[in-house]
Amino acid sequence: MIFKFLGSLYFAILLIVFTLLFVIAGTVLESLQDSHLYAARFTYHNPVFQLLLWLYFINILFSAVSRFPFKKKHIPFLLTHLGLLLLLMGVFIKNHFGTQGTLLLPEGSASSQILLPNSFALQIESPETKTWIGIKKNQLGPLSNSLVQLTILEWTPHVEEHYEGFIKDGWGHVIGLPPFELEKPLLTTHYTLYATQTDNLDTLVFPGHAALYLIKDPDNQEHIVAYTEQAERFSTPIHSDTFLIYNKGYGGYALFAELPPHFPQLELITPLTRKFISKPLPQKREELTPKIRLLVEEGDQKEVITLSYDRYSQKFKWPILGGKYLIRFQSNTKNIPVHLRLKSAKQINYPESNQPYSYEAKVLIDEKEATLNMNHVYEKQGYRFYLSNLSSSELGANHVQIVVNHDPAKYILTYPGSILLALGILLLYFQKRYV
Amino acid sequence: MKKIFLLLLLFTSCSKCPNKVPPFAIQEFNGREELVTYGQTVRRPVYRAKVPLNWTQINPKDEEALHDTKKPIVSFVLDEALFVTVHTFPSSSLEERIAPEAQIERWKEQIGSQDCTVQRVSYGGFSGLFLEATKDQKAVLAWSLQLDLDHYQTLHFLAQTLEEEEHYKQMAADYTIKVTGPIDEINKRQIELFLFAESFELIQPIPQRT
Repeated sequence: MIFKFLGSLYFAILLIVFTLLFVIAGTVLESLQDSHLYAARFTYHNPVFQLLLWLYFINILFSAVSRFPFKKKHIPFLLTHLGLLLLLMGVFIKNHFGTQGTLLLPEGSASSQILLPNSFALQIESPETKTWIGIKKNQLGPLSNSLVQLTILEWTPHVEEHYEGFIKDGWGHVIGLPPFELEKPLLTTHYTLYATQTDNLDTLVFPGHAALYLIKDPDNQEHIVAYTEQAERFSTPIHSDTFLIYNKGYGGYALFAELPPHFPQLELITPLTRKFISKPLPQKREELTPKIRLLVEEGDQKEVITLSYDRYSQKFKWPILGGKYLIRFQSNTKNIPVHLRLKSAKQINYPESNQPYSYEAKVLIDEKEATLNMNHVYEKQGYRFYLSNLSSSELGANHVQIVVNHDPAKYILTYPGSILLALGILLLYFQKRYV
Repeated sequence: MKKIFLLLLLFTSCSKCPNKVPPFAIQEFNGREELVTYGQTVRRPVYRAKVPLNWTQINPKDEEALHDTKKPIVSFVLDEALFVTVHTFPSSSLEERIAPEAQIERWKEQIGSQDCTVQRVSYGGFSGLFLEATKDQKAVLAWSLQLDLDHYQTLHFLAQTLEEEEHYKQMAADYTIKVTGPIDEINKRQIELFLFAESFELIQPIPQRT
């Protein structure tokens, strides 16, 4: 009785109705939240949806077996069902053993390491070695690692990270000078130094003597405005490309600013620090930036460090235990057996416009030249490479984002399944009806 | 019959232009001197490029020191009419680097031509400017490229030993490619010249700090 029901058309219709409800929910949720991840959590990645797929498998299998003993007239029907079963098996295998990741490459660089989306890991680096420890969302407690002992103390769901340079917590900081309070002048050899916060640099006027203002605007961007005795003004924002790595990065990072050569010189260097601001969860779950507080121990040495999530592994690794190691909270990684090197990348615009029409990247895949563009997928050793994004720079190297996809069942299950299904449907179409 | 002919015409048409890329070989080129130990230097392969087979390559003599950046690391002669020279400019700090804009201005002054076009280019982690200028039936094509700032800092950051420091200094060097010769010759060989310039790259990929 149960066997008959599980292989019946009624059960199939029930499954189709449930699937339709999931698909509708997925579409509505994704359009409301603008987040595929959010929609997928309640629909396609939901265990109930996975159970539906298994029930489909049972339904199709039982339905086919119920025709036993098979006759010649059953061939189209069996082919169709076998095709569907192969397709479903392909889905299960892809879900469990497949790979989907992102490869970020600047022109001139190469890699065979992909970043796995929506995954978390800690990368720890010493001058000799690098290790990655995969962690689960909201995981607390000790982590096993061969380099140092790590314990996650706290997990904050979403933060914004800001770098702080010359102005930190209401004080001006320049290496070699005592900290000076906001708006209170500090006399140096050539300048009177001020730390100030303003949203309009134009409101600053020549104070009547050589002065140097360190300014933070409401967007946390720092600027320098300097005046000579002769009221000559120099103004510049301090960009992140002026980070100075000292002591090979293991001691920390510093920010430096330069004055024009004809201005009296003052060495303007300050340690780079970070500030985290807790934020409400973003609507788009893909933009979540969690923060962890981590206890690091080695022998008698102990240290607590706070790290925010670096999705694309592009930001700084921070020194721990007196600079013995560097650490970063990032996406998990996976090495693939294919090596990619980006030679050049460009954006192709619509004629007479700056609107991108397509992107194109010239790459070396295992030392063989290939061109990737938005509509041209490259496949090597079962790995498919799609060019998904390009960030071009006026002054530096262009960067590309390549989506890497590996489906181990594609050639052995999915494609043969599709062919059998198509063949079965074709034969069913020409077959005479039978009862 | 007419229909068959039209069909044949349709199927024999090609969607792509014939490949005009000339036959080439990938050649490697040494950088300038790298310090091995005190007083001892060596020139190691740093760059590679696609070199058309009909080009005559002129390498600096082994005994010739290339500390002087006025000397090219490699040059080519094409039909005794076109000259291609490649110069590199290693630097120890950001301040020592020569901006591509400055190189272009210098060339413009040398050429003394009003007929110049300058374009931004970027290949293999380097970016800079491409100059095309003509004067009195002579033409110049010149590329001035500088390593991306992030790459430059990464190379300086990653160098742990003297050997790495010296080699990465060569890798991080600015480079220029300059082609001079009659306009007709340059126009005739434009595909070859661009093939060489656009394929000129570091042999070793630039390491990433990730």
